Amino acid sequence: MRLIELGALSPLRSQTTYHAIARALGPGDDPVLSLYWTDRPYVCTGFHRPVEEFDQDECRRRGLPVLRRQLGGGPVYLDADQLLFQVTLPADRAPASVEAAYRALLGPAVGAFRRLGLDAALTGTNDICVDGRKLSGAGMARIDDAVVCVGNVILDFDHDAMAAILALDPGMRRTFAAVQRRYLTTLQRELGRAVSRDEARDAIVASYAEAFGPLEPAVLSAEEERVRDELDVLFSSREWLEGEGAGWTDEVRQAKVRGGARVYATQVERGGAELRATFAVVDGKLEDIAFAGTALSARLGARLAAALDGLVAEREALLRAARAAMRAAAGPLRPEDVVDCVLRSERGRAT
Amino acid sequence: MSVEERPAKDLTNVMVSGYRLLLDRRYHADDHTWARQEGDLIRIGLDDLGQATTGDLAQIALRRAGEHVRHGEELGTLEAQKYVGPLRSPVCGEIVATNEAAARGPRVVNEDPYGLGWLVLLRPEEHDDLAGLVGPDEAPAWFAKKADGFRREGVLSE
Repeated sequence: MRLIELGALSPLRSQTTYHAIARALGPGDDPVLSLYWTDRPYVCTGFHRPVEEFDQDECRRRGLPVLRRQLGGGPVYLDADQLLFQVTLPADRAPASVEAAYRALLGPAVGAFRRLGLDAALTGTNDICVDGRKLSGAGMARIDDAVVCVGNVILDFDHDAMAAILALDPGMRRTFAAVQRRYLTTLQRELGRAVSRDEARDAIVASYAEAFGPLEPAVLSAEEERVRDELDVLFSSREWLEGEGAGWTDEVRQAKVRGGARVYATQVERGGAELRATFAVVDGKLEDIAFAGTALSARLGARLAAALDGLVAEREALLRAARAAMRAAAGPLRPEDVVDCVLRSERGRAT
Repeated sequence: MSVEERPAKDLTNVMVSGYRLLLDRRYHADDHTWARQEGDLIRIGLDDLGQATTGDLAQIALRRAGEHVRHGEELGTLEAQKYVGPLRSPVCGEIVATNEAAARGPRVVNEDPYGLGWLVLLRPEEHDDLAGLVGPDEAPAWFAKKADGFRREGVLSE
């Protein structure tokens, strides 16, 4: 396996470099582990996602470049406190299913977190978590003859910046910020001390060497540099940023914190009145639920929120709780409307 | 290998090693796409093993009607579990129509890959285009071998 360590790269190069390695990789080539970090903060979204999911004004105000990758997933905030790692290998050497490929390519990264002293595990398909808190996220793509899996080691994280750069209404932003703090963690928080990039790098390198065999230090080949130069132009273009693939639409406004933890904003209309709900569903249970709108009083909204918070997001359980909370309530709003509003979240796409 | 007929009256619809296979069409051996001749046109989709190994689809983006594709070129892209991969064409020709319903709600490809989850309708450029694909005589054995191999590798559940 080649080991390519490039230190601090510009935001653009931190994306184009691994795409270039993947595009240049031939069927018989050695796998590559590449490591680097961005020299300044930026935001990046997945191949099929529209850049409108970012608050463009806020990104401009903060001077954040906006980029799009050829991998899946949604909007992310990246800065120098994240060590970015990528594993690229010929497609015919990768397991044939997406889930198995993540297991094979992220297994060593889990091992790296364990070397650092955390009881980390691969949770769901592609998050590395400790006790339900996300330590590292990953995405993957088949690019020409290669499969590339990309992840990060979060040394520290600016939760406020992440919440600020998404195009969310104020209520959803508050909920997202709170839930994100709970379920997106950092090495510093978990270990109670600052972890240097070198320490994280050593853990990653040792784990991948154990899994893939000796790592041969290398630099980008002339071909990889040539492809990267081409991609620098492509990835800077408006056509790429707003590309044809970026046609994601969803019936439901949702923001993902980790696999199994999402924040939703839903609404229903009854008799000309509106009910709005903002909440998180974390491993199937409701958290941080709040109601607003013309269909109910603030007092009833608070009572409903208290009754539903912490419940499993299933119709019968929610209906029982909503009925109890609304026993003495007048007006057109029915318990069924409240449950319908919450369960609209089920119409959202799995991301 | 296990090939169970299902239902008994439709011999073109079989279960092979736990996955559904239709014998009224041909298959690309590596990409797990299917192609079915429909008059002058060819309908294309993902087979049951293809959708199972990809997982729950979150997005499908397809090229536009009127565009030409060659063998192995991208008909579009799919996304599942933050993985993005190409949908490669098993034949060459002009795209006549795309399945807008699948693009809007890609779960239909997981639920009904051979029916409502079709992807593209194409007018082929060569009449013998389907000859290089796996036909109904070989398909059950090929499909069983792939499914059993995936299981051995731990790629599919037992």
